[in-house]
Amino acid sequence: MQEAPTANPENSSSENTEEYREPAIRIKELDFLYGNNQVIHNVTLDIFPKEIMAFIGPSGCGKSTLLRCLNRMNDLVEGARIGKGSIEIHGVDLHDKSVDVIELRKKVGMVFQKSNPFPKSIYQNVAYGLQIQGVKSKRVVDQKVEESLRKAALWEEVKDRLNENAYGLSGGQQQRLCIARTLAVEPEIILMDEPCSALDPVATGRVEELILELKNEYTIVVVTHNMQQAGRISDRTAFFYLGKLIECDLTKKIFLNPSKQQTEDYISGKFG
Amino acid sequence: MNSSQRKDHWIKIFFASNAVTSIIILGLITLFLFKEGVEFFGQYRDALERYRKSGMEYATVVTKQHDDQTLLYRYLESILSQEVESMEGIAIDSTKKIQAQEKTKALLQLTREFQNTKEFLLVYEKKMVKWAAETKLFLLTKSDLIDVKKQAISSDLPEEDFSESIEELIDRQSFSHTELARWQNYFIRHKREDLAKRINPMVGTESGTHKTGEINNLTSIIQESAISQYPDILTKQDNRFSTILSDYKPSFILSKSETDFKKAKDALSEYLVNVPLYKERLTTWDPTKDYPLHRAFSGFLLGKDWVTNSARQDWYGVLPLLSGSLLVSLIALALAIPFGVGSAIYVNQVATAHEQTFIKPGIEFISAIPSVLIGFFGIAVLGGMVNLIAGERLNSLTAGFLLALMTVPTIFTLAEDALNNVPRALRDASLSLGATRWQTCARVIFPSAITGIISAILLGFGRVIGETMVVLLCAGNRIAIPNVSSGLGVFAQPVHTMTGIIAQEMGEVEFGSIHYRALFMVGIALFLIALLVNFLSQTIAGRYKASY
Ligand SMILES: Nc1ncnc2c1ncn2[C@@H]1O[C@H](COP(=O)(O)OP(=O)(O)OP(=O)(O)O)[C@@H](O)[C@H]1O
Ligand SMILES: [Mg+2]
Repeated sequence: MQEAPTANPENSSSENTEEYREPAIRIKELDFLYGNNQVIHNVTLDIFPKEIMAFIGPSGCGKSTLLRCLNRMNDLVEGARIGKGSIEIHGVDLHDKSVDVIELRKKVGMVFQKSNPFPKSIYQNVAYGLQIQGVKSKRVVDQKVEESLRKAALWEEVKDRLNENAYGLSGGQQQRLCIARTLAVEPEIILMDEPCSALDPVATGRVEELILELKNEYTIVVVTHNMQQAGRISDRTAFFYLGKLIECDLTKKIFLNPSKQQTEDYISGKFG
Repeated sequence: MNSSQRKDHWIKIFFASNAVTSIIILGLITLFLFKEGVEFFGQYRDALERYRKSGMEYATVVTKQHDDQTLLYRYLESILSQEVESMEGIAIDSTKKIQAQEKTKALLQLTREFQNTKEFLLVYEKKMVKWAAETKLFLLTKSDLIDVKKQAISSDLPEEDFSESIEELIDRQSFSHTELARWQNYFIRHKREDLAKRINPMVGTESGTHKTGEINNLTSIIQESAISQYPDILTKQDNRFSTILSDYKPSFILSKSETDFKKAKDALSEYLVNVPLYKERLTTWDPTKDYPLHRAFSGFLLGKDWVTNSARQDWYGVLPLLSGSLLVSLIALALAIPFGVGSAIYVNQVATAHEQTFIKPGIEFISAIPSVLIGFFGIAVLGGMVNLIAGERLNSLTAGFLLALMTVPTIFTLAEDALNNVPRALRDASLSLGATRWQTCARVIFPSAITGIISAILLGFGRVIGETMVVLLCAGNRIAIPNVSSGLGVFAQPVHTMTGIIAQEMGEVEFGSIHYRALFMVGIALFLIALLVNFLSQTIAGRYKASY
């Protein structure tokens, strides 16, 4: 897998952690529960602007849950609640009364594990986010659709079939369409939950390239089970185990020289 | 074969036989329905042909014409009665009173005169109806006799008292009652009560022809009278009608009577314009013309009358029943769709888990209520409320309300399923793009479920149109095509339905009679509608599944 086409993680990660920067997302001593079942334990974590943060850890350790906290998708789950602690985005507590969850979700976009385009045309899929915001001008929408599809590296493949149903696309194309759909809303932060787990290596490579490109403009949090992938694309990596944040550091460091035994065991494949 | 294979084998046979049995049963039902129903058209054609050959068709035209005249007469009568009433307030012996009396006397004269003129046609009409009725009996008796004779021949009965050949029977123009009694005896002697029963020597007793000792074929006499008597009557009437009114110097007590009288005059001239049409129909009437089978078809499918046990002719037109059924279904669906789909959306999208636990079973419980109880409720409670709106307790509105109540669970359950089948991922995707819950529902979930919802509605329609008890109890059971010209009132007219008529009349009809078969045809029509609806909903639901 090492020879899969990717960009190089080495030089991108080193320089920016030296001086202090305002974090884009600040998670403080967060406990999170489904009913009485606590799945996040006292997690404190900062995510900086325009970095790629990878969440790794064995299945069920709460990666998706934490990710979904970041755009409050867990609001939809009955009984899901924060026990203690807080999440701030640019210093604003997500659960503050003044926060409009709709606005929040526009700012914090999400790409899901399984590609989930709407049963509509390719064009309609990308235009959806604009249309619900009430953008009427066809020119503006057209422009945005093209721009988003270009950013998602899909434009060349679909420009002649924009009005065809999105289900006619391949799995990898569908996932990139979902990314384009997210980009069209102009988020600042993009959350990705195992975006490549349903894709073959070639399609995975394309999506990884895309993620690296997006890094220039967006803050990206990506959950992955694929260690190589985390190594290829992320600047920093957070390792979770049983709902606890075990270790968070530069990706290179985590993979080459983790400070915790558990991390090393996990990365070397001893469990998980 | 090892034991697990053998087990598989038997399981397979078990399920296969279940499937085959249900298909066979469906096939048998279809076959039975069609077998019983299809003969209807032949019988109906024969009946309508008899209607023509007997002269009843002719008599009915005359009756219609006389009805027209009666209508004119009613105009005059009502003017007269309002004049008389207005006199009551005037003091006796005053000159005014005497004048008024003079006026009404003249009007009374006029009305009498009109009635007398009308009488010419009435006398003729009575005669025609009597002759036609007798001829109809004669024709029925003849076809029965030919039939029993055929059976006598085929079962090798000796000729004895019933020596007439079939050809002879066909040529007969009358049968005497003693003859009929003899033939009936003949069959009784030979222990064929079943055939004896079909000969009725008392036939015609009610029509008065019994006195002559025989029943006759009078068609040719009727036809002759169309040329010899009818035109004379018309000329006499036309002249008098037009002179009566124009000679009368109208002078009324009430000014309303004056305008009424003008209206009556207009109606009369309209009638006079129509007279040549009647004349044309009657003088060109041809009893020998065959009645084609397709007229029996169209008579059923497009017939506007459903009249049974009529002295003259029964009519089996499905249109009033079909339109009644459709009207009731329309009302029911118009109410049930918003409620059913609306609550499905609510339960699926908005309700908390706790709310769901009682809303869903609550709605679904409605379908467990026996329909006869819903009918009770309709008569006792809802009827009263509808009475306030429509001035009538039992009509299509009452039935529609109740049917809506009964279909809401069907539509609700299926629509909720359809909404539930929309993948959660689509909802999540929409929400994560910053859509509100309602935007998500309206733009993603509802459109994705729409085919499923449509098929839910169609199945609801199938349930409504097949429902019997409630419409029988609450639709008002008036056999008439809803009058569209009454605007919104069309929704509050009493109607009869296809299911209702079957339930109501099937118990009393004679097995194998034309009425019996007509009811079967209504059943077949219902069956076809149900089949079509089912087919549509399945194709739509199929397309829906294919889209994920
Ligand atoms: N909607 C929910 N209701 C209740 N419990 C849930 C819900 N979603 C997740 N959980 C529980 O929370 C815990 C963490 O789940 P989560 O999906 O966050 O794990 P994950 O790290 O993403 O795992 P995976 O790598 O398999 O995706 C698990 O024990 C899971 O059973
Ligand atoms: Mg997960």
